[in-house]
Amino acid sequence: MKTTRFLLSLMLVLTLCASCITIAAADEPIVLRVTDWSDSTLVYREQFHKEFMEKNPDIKIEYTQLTIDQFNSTVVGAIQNGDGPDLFPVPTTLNLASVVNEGWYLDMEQYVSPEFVASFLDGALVEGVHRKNGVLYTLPEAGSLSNSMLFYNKDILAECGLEVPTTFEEFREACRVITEKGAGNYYGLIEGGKQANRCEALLRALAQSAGAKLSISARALTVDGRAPYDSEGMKLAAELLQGIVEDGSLYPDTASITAPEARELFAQGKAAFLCQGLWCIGTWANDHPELNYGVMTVPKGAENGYVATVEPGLWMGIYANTKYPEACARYLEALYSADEYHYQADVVKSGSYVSVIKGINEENMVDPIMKEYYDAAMTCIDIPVVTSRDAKFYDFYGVVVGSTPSLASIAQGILSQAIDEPMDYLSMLADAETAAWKTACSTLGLDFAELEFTNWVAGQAYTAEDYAALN
Amino acid sequence: MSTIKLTKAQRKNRIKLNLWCWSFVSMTLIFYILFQGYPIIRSIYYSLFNWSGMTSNMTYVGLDNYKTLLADNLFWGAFKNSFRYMVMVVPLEVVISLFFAYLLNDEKLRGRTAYRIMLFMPVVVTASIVGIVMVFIWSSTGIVNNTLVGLGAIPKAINWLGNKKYAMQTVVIVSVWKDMGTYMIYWLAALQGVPADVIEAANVDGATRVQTFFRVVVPIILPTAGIIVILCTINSLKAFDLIQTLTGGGPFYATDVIATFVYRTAFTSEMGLPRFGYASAAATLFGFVVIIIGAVLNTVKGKLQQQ
Repeated sequence: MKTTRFLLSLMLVLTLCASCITIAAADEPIVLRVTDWSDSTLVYREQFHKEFMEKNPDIKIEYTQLTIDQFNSTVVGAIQNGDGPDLFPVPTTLNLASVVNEGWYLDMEQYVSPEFVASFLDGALVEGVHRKNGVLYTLPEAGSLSNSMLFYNKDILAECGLEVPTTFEEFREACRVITEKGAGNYYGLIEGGKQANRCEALLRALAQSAGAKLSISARALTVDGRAPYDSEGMKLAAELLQGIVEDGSLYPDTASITAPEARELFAQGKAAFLCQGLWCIGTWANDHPELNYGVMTVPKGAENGYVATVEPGLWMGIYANTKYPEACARYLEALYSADEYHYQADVVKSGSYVSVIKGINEENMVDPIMKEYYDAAMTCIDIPVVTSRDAKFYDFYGVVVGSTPSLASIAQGILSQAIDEPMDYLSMLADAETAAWKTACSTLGLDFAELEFTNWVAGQAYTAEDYAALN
Repeated sequence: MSTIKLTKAQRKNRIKLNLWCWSFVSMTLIFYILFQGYPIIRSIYYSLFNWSGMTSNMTYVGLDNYKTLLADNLFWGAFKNSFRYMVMVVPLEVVISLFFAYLLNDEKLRGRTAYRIMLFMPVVVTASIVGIVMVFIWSSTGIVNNTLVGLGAIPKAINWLGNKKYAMQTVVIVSVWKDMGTYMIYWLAALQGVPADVIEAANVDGATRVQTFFRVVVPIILPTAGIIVILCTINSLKAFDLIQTLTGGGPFYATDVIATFVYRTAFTSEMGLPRFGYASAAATLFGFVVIIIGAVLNTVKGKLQQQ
């Protein structure tokens, strides 16, 4: 009897405790963990979080911003162990096919409204990039514009009595004259040479501008059955950069500075030209409002030269192991909102990037330099990508082993004068990449010939139908 | 062979003593196993797989990663650079730190504590901070170039860290400056173990300071020298943080050592996925080389001590 009474009392106490805990838990807001590396929009993001939590008191945002390297080396492990953030972007070294195979993300359309999906610009959500087999897993952070535009300092050009150069010859000569006139105070060209990716972006943009049939960065495309890294266009681009370096027209510390440092030095008037992306505009507007500059596409190296667009970026998705998918959906709907929240409008107004949401850019792109950038970027053309005609090739990028020295390292070597004969290295790279791509294709049972678009004419603007007709 | 029989009480005491010893050692041992031993074993395991480190897709490839490494020019370039770095750093580090230690061991020297602190200061500064500051100091508009150009030693500014010819030497100078304090402390400990009466006897015999150093002090501190050389060698072969922040292994692999090669291969890729398994193989292979070098140096030190 005593035991029964004790057990009943114990059950009563436990039930009361459990109720108290449940009531307390119900009152506590959901903690939504969001992690990414979007440093250029941090101010607006924090404002957004404040606004979001005010309007959604049942949700608390824990936002962590890391560098890409930190994300890859810390968060990826947590994701694999089932303890990742509720919302996080796809690591830069992975593609959608890999993360979907890993089961990292939820089918987003189960939680967001159809109106939300419809609010994205046409073509912003791409099969193979954001969707796999029609299922939406991730969203792009921003509209994809070329990130290799040439910024020029108008004051320096005016001081040297120069017009904006439009050809390779004019560009090299302008850099030489500017450096001579600058007498150590300013130079022709500056670049974040410590970052191999920026060196590659410059070399690739110049090569394409010289008519080289070249894929977008980190993608495979063959010409005459070969990786086209030693083409005539590439040779012209490498020679131009070598010439600028030999003339002494490159900012002397280029090899040992990062892209943000180069951006800052350009703003301080240490160089007349800088090849970077849209992100510079917002930074300069805040830190150097006095900077008098313009933006253009890189100079033309050949008649059939062109400037390429970039691949649509993949970014945030909802973690498959999240306890709060509905809250995640609310967060995303607010982040991309065109009217209720101001985040999209703020980032466009600030010049940080262009939005992927309908109506935002037209209303908020008030900065004239941003409009100039946008107009210049609109002249860029798409390069055919094999994944658009055969989605199986997404697996190719999970298998292929990149060759070294890579194009980025070679470009870095040219700018630092560490290599005298870049064409030797480019030919070696072309051979090695061809072999690596063939191996990857044969491993996956893919047809290597599919990497080639035989009737693609470089520099020619195509419509979507034209691209579909390429073979 | 005779054995000493212990009484029950003695055995109990010995067990008690052993337990005490193990209890003190156990924490270090546990941490060593968790944070050193286990990762090393996992790294060896991963080296047998084709794995990006990012996905669960691991393919067993046996020794293929090692075979590929043996034909990888960049790996051998980094391998050579590691030894180039070691060959330059170790003698400079050992000699300069000994020089300062001997100088600052003089009790008559005024403000020697302040000098010691000054020389030790770089050791406590984070390598990444040193790297960032040094990039400015050695830049074309930095103090080094301004001084050298001002003195007429060089006709125009040189980008020391961005030039293939000078990058490694510059990294070595920065590294020696940063780590010298540690070895100076070791030398000071050794020098303080030199009996004062021996030095006095040498002075009475009319030996100069240099003669006393080479004929009296050096033979006494030689065993410590062996340990310092081994530590310095192993540390120089493991160099990473300073090189990564100063040059990232560039320009065009001129300062690429094994640690930067492993980091780049494991966590970055320009096309395809990173190669964590391959990087693990590189780390394992080089780790064995370092162990062998350490063992050889230890043997040499032992023989020298016997002599």
